[in-house]
Amino acid sequence: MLAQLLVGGLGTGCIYALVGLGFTLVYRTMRMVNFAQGQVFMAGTFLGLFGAQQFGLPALPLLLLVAVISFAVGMLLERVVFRRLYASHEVFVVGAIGLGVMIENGFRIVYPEPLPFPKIFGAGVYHLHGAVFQKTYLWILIVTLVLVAALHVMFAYTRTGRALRAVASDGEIAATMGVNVQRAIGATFGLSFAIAAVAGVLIGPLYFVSPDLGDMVGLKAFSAAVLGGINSVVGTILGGLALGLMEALAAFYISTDYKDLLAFAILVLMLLVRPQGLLGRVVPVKV
Amino acid sequence: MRAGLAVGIASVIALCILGLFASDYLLEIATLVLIESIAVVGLGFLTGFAGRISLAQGALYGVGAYAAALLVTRTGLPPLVGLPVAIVAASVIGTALGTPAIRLSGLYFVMSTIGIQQILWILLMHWSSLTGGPQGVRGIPALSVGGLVLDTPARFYVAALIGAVASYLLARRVIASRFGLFLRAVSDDELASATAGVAVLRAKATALALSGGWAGAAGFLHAYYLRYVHPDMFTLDLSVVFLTMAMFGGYRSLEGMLLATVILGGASEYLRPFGQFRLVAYGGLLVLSMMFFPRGLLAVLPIRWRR
Amino acid sequence: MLDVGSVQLSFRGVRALGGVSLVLHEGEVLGIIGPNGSGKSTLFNVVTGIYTPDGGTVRFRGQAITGLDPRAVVGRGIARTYQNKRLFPSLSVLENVLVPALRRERGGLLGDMLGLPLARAGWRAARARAAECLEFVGLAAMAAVGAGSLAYGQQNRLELARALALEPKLLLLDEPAAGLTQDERTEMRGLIERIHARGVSIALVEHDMRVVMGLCSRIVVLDHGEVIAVGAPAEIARDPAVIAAYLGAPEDG
Repeated sequence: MLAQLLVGGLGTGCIYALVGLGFTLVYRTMRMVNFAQGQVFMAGTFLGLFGAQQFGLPALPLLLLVAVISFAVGMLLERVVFRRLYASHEVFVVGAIGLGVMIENGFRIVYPEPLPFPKIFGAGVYHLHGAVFQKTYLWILIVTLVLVAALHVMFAYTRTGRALRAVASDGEIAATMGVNVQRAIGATFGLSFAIAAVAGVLIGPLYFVSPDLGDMVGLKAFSAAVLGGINSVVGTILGGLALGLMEALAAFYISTDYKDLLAFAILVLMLLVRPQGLLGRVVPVKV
Repeated sequence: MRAGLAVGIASVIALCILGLFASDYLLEIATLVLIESIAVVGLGFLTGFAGRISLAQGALYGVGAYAAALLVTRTGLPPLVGLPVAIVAASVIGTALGTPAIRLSGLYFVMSTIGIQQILWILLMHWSSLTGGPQGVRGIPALSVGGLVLDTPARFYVAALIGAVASYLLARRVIASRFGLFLRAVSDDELASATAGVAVLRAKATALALSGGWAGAAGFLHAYYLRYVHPDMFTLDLSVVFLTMAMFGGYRSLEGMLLATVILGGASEYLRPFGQFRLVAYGGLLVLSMMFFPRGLLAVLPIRWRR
Repeated sequence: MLDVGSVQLSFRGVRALGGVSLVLHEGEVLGIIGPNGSGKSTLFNVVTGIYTPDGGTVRFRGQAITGLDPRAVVGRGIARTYQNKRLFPSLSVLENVLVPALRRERGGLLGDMLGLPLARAGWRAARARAAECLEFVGLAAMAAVGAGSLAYGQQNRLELARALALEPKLLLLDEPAAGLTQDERTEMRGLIERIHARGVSIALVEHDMRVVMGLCSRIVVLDHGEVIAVGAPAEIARDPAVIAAYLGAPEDG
């Protein structure tokens, strides 16, 4: 039983980690929180649904296609919408929430009923230490690992990655070093959209999909990012995994009803006690 | 100032005339708008004057509604007792949960209020022994004041109108008080306020208490208006609606918030047949107003017209 | 009156104040000078409770005030102005001064809302005091203007009026003459003299030597977070250590 819980928890944890990464990337660069992130995740799910149903795309091409499209959409939205919201934190947060509401309800109009997602990862089932799990979980784990590794390589070793890090660290200095800051910010948003959308496709085959997914996953991924440290990539990933595991355990040992409470209780507690997260750094404010 | 007073009196008279001649359907929409305006004004203490965004107002509104509903259905107490209870319940819960968070920066505070909203909603939904859980609370009797039973749309409309006017007048007195002055100073510059002798934390906590109290009062009316409460009435979506109205109407303008509530509430009702599109429109409005009018609708009008 | 004893403060490993001690006597005007970054404003921040020092004590009129929060420090009778003018831009000039003026008045939110006589008397007294302070600094005519639209020199004076409204025993002025024209500086000097004449003790951080020399009976010189000289203006002007600090003379040996 424990093994089953762990597998399930790890699976959701990976999803929280990926969506949470979206929050973190944007926060590191802009010090802003994009509350539409959950809806981006959900949009990815439906994009994947569309691709799989209409074009019968298999897993890998589908993931790549969704990633590319979401990246482009992310860059576009940054240019058209987000760029005009940088006036203050509050303005950005409220604007992002509004955008999220638009996306979610827009999808509700097109997809009013929960739908099943094609088994793009195959119908196979694995056994491990008494736990039975779908092939999907394996894909989730592997794709998460690949994405995280790819991100790490990009940030550490490529010029683009270094440029993004420079902008995240100090936009003005980055500009003087010849970095095209606007494009870097756009790329950051594109990345955060792409990762969240891919997570959306990954989780598709596990449940019936509906536009309601976005809200909850978004908020929980956000809690996970705050837990691990919203300005720390490693922190967010670990926070996501930790939250996924804790939720699975809480659902079984305490109560399924209140398992959602866990994420929010953690969120509020962390913000009050240690807002920078377990692994984050405090950014000092000059008086 | 005299122009403002004239507009105010004219509005109240117009609303009274509306009450006399309008259809039941129109009265019901107007009643809902009036009730919502109370919650929005309460939120305005935080958004406009304390400079803080809160997404928990929907849940606190729910706390007030549930307090009134549970009190009247579980005890034999007369309905009107529910009003102070609802106000106190929402105010205390809002202050208790919000005060630790309001020390934080604006961004973290918003995040905390989202957490608080969700926690309260989950409790309303799952603490069945207290709240009735997914069944909600049914069979709330009509509001009776003294011997008068408010069981028709027209009669309840009057109660809602009185409530909304009282809420507005009280809010104006609060803003005009020294507390209002301190709050504006704190939202301008917290450090300078402290060195000017303002008890900053106390001012913020008071703002929280007031916004909760207003939400509770609105919730009380909601419970007696619909005669039924259910957790899904008090979700994050409702908080978003309240926030939209508060921010759309204007940074520090109570009148703007009222206007925004009327416009958005009315428009929302008009769009009801379009189902989900209504919420898309809300979201779009929120985004667009943040993009182009971050200081709210009335900030665009010439200074002469604003207070 | 003010006794700063060996105050130390570091920020993330960078030492801002390294054992600063000074004494301010009741009724005097003490000048605090030093090159940029020597810790003058930081010292003020410690005294007014914005920073808690890592070591050392601050005593005011015999009582320890180290580590008290800013509002409590104000309550003991110390007021300050800020180098970079922390006004309330969305409030009017009068309202800016009303905020501190209302501090000690009776009545609160409830009193105001109920219209209690005590509360109303409090407002009247506060308005009177605020008007008097504005009159004193010469801004009475600008009372209804938004503080955000004041000219620089006027902002300085409003900052001063706000501090005066607290009726302090000790006034800490952080570069009150910064950015002022020559005429405005002379005016500011006059204002500070008049404040002093009312019996308020003053600690003055300033770069303009004419202002400092003219007003202060004693001067403390800071450099790199340490006191390098204390004395009468004439002595300080001749002190080699002070000259070296300002001109950056090369160290011997």
